[in-house]
Amino acid sequence: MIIILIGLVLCFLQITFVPQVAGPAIVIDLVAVFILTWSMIRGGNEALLLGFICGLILSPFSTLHFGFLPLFYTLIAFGSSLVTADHMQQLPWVRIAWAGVWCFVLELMLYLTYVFSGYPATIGGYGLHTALPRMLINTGAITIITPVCMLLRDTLSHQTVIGIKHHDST
Amino acid sequence: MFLFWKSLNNFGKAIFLILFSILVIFLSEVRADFLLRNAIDTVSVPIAQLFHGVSRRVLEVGTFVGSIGSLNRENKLLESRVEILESQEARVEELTLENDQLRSQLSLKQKEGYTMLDARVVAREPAGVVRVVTIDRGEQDGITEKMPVVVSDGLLVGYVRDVYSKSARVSLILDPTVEVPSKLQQSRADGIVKGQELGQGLIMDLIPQGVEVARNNLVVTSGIGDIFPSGLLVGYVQAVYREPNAIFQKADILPAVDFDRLELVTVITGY
Repeated sequence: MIIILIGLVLCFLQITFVPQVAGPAIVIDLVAVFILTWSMIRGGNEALLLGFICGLILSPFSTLHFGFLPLFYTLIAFGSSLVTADHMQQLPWVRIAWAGVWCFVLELMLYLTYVFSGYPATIGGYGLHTALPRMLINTGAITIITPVCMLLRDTLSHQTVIGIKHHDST
Repeated sequence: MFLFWKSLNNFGKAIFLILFSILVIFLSEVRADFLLRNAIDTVSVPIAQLFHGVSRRVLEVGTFVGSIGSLNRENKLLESRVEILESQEARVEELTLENDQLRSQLSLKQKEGYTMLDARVVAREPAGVVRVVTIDRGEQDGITEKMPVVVSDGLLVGYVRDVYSKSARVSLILDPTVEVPSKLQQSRADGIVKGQELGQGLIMDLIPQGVEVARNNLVVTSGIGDIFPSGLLVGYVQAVYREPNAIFQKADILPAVDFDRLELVTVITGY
């Protein structure tokens, strides 16, 4: 529940705060970063729902057809959860590369959807000016916030354990 | 429903959500998604409005805090500039008069004849690719599709692209899918202004080859088409591209509006 709430806050930051700070520059995709990070450290169970709900909330503010963003975020949540951080605890570079792969997949899906909707964007222009910089920004952000999310995960798990123990003792 | 959800494994959940998303896309394609759209829109727009207001304040505070260190230096600089500004006062008066003349030439004052509705920008496109903003006025306020949107004295922002019950999406003129029939104010030559790829500026195309185009020429809407009325300021010519064998020439246009600072806009509901 807390994770969904954090996701919703990030959705609203994505459409209000981030564009104001970034101006005409490339904007980071906070929602994708959080979904990918959470999916890799916690598995797909929560990330799937997180991706779907965040996609639905963002849909009215997007020019894509309603439903595309939930689809894309669900897909990257599922795809990235196939290899979780626990599998690659010893291989941080693989984790970063895996996050990069799903950032790339997201950008590719977005590009194809824009083009098929009639938006005039060449692959070179879109790739150089939007997809590549954003992929790098998102992957970099995932690399940085993964330890923070792992701490959050451990704290939440710890609270759950304490809650269960407390319940048992009473 | 909850039990059904709990009974699924990750793969099952993913398939369920993907199929549901695809169903929503199909519904959207036949415009049968309005119930879901309006429900989410009704809940999310006020929250977005709140976030927008708070983030604006946070940025203002951040800017203020960041500027404290340089205030003393700026104060000295400003004192010296006061003297210069006093001497320029006379020139400003002259420019004001010239500005009034230009405005009347542009027919910007015709806006008294328009029916208008103020709106607040509450959100921007999440992917940041398509230049679209969301405003807090919608169908309930009388907004319909293809209404022009301006700021202050008639500076063109864009037009209403989609309308929901309590909000609407406005395509900015920076977007390459938006074409604005325009003319050069000095030479009266027609052309089409549209956004460059990925919204990285404006370009005026289809200007006849023989027309003299100079830097800082004003570009205004021509009134051709059914969206934009004539006389709205689009921008200023920055650079001209002429090729000897081409039928038309092109010009880079500097938009009259700072699109990154859009807060209050005006929808022209009738003209």
